[in-house]
Amino acid sequence: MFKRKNGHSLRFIPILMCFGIFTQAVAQESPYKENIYPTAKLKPTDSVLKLKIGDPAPDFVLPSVNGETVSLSQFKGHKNVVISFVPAAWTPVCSGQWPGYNLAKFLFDKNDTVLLGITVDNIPTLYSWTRQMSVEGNGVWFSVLSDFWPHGAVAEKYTVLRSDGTSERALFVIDKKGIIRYIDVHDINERPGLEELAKALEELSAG
Amino acid sequence: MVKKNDRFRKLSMISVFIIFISFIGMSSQQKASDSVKPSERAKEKKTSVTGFDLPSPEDEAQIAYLGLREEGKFELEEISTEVLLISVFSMYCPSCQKDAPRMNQLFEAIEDDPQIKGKIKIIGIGLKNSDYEVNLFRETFDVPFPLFPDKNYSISKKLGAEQTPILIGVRFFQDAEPVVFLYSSSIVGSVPDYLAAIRDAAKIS
Repeated sequence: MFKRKNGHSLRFIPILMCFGIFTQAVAQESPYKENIYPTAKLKPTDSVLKLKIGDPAPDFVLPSVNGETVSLSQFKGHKNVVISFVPAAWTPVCSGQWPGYNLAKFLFDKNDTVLLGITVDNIPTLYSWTRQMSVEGNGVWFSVLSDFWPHGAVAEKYTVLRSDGTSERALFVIDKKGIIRYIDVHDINERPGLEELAKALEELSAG
Repeated sequence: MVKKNDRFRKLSMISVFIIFISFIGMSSQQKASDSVKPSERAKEKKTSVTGFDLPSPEDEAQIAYLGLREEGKFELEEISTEVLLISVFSMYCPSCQKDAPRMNQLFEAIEDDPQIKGKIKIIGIGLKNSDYEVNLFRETFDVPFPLFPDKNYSISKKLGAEQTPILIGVRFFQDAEPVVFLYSSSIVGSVPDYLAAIRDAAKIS
């Protein structure tokens, strides 16, 4: 048995208990899976699209998750732009898009295109959400912009703000002249196929 | 007085020690064998491995791997194997992206073992993924086993898979109905342990 000297040996107790609790906690399954809010099936769209192919894309300035400020006009003359509006953070990921786009950087690079992901959520929400959607927990390769305040102002400019304050699941492809060349306001409950976007980008590149 | 205190301290140290040990015991990683069980989940999910077909792979090597005789469509029962592991995945699913290297390791472990090579085969079903999306997943992760798109969800639905990742194990017999012996989300524990648990549960030597 060990000697007891002025309570030194008792110090082990909280350490041991903490270690025990820690290993217990670590062994739990990822808490994420069970914490996703079960969104019911929604109306496929809930807004009226007033933009069309050939229109100039509305400019905007928004904060991004990595601290930068991003405007649409900064890409004019240099890059094509894809804007991916998704309804909200923390809605079922496995039907989500961005973890898939996380694998598709080559597609955008190949077509001289920048991808901007936008939701109506605030920056801390977007930060946590995009961190956990990547395998290494280091976020996504493309800019993620917060359209939180004024709430949904950019979604509204693009006429894709829904009546509950979320945005449509919509894709806009904008060429280097700032003109809209492809619009997909998709059924919010479904995911647009990557192949359609790939085709739109290839057509852009083909001129 | 001193004696009583000593005994009390000894008792409390022993009880703390016991509590600590039980924490460690409770927290040890779920064993691979625990997760490969004759599955109530398969029944609950109404997993069915018949009544649908898949297109033959374009790659000759994969047609040979599956042991299919002709091109065109085939049913799962036509695959030349005793055990089929069906990995239901999605290109859009971060857990599936994370799991991909381990699924590849499982494939390699099977192919490297002359006792089970040819007896256990793996395919992937891309839930609500198109051909394009499945190809992207295959190329990104260098997936060595055949993958099939399930754009309209019909195959995953039959398999009882509503989300991803899901790993389903089926035992085929010459003269009996196939048995679904595994329905879980992904590989638990080390790949060799999990493979041993599969061999055990599927009752193949």
